[in-house]
Amino acid sequence: MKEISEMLGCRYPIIQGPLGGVTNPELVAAVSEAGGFGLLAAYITSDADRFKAQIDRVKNLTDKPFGANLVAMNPKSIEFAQILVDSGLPAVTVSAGNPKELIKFFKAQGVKVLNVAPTVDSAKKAADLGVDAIIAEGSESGGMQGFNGPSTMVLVPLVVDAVDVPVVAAGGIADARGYRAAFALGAKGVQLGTCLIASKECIAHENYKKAICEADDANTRLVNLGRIQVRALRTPLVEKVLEGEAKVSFTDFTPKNVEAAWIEGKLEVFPISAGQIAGMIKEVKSVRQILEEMVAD
Amino acid sequence: MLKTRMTELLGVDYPIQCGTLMWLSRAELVAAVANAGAFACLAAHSFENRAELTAEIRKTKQLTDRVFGVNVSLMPTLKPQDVTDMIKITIDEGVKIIETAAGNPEPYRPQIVEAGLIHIHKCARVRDAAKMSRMGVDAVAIVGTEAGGHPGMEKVGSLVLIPQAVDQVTVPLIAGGGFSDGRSLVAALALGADGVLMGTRFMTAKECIIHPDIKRRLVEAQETDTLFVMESIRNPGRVLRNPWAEKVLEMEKVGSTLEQLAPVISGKITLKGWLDGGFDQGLFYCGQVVGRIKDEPSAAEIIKSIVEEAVQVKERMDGLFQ
Repeated sequence: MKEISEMLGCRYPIIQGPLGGVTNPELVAAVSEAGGFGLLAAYITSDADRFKAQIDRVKNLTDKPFGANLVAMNPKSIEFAQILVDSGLPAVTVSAGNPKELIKFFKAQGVKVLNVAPTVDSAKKAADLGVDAIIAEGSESGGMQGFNGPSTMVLVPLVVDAVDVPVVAAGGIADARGYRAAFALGAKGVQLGTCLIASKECIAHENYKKAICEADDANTRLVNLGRIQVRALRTPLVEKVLEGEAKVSFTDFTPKNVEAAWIEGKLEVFPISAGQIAGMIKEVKSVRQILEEMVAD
Repeated sequence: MLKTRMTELLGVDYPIQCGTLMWLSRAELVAAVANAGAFACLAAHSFENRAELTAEIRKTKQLTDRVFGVNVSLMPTLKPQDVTDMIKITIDEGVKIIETAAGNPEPYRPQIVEAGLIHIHKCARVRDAAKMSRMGVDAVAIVGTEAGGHPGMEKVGSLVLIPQAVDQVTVPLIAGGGFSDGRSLVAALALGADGVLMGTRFMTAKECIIHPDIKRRLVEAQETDTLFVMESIRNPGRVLRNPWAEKVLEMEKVGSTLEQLAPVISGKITLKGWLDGGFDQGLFYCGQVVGRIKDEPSAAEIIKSIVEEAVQVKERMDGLFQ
């Protein structure tokens, strides 16, 4: 049980998933303070100064270790990688896109690197490149997704059998039951996303959190943006997109639109991401409560 | 060690069901699973007429003294089916367990209850599971979108469905979709289920009538090699990717009607494929977990290895979470 927490220097083997535009420093610090591993997200931004300021802000809020996620398909990812190294972050996660250059870069700098893999083949490739752990992310997850990926239940044991490094389960986990199920499948840790959006410390707008708490098991859909898909809640906008009455494409996926919808609560501007596990989340809790309930007997 | 409300209710040794497989859940497979201490049902719709179903039940009884069930799908079919008669045959032949799937079993409840059958209903949505529990069925099975066959329109994974169903169902809950071994069985129990059903795992069992060439295809398949067909007619089926499935998808893309699709999605073509081994013809239903199936053991060996692994995993878990 200690492999992941020792690797990351935190108390529990629980990693905060990158939450795009709602990954505020206060949330990251709260996760690390509560015993998990907080993670900033560079996602699709290109604003390096703002990213540096976020790192400094987390450092002001906690002495505990935290990391960051880089999206490999972001053209600025290597520039951000240098910022992370300069800031002395102990570990990073890499997702969406070809991780080869980033893995090579971080390994050379002695930074622990975990790769998010939605299939066995991508997990094997990352393991061959020498990553320290694989985050096996099933299709239940919210946010960016590929096409035709398997569910967490199928993916995690497959990856556990296919690679020699520890595996972290992601997608569909929000309580103690899911946490234990992940360990039964052979995972050494979990990554949480949706339940942390519905936390007190997350900057997500009240409308966003309310939509998560009111969702049932059938309330997310995959929205096709062209190059990628996004799993999002069935807001009126998403319903319109699915009916062909509105269109959202990859070019609409901008920090401005994301912030308008996710932080300002204008749900008509852009889909709000959430995993299928939103159906189980019924109330907004503090990060500490979420983590402590998860690891409780 | 693996006693649950499911094993108690059904009178089996292990909380494992061989998921009912259209055309494939026949006497040999069902009896082999039952003899190994797990649960299985004959797929009633696989048989041409009442004489054939009756004969298959009798054959199963000759092959095992253990309990088994009969599965009756309530999904609308092109060729009308006499579900009431299928249930009557089940009762008359002394089978004690009936599994209904899809649709609403309410019209058949009086017949089932009066005969004292144990009634399992299988569904794919939490709200349906909750409704069945309130209706008074004896057990509810819920399958995630990973499952082969027809796991519903909503495409929700079993890891997400199970705990929510547990919270809303009072009767024993059997979890399906993505299960194939001891690790996944213990995961289901950790989520609060009383047992699992696994279909794809038993498709490469020695006692399953699938042609060796198709079994080899299943063993070679990866977790990304399944896809959904028939979404356009609101009855998505998860099948192995093959030229036939691609052809069905193409037809759906250009707006083919049910009448146009009917000859291509016909179960008879699938049955022929299963038996003759021609990979290019027919829809071969299976779950994503096909990517984890790498061998062709007997049903008894499958069950033994699941149980042995589950016991080890439980011990490992006790060490982690004491």
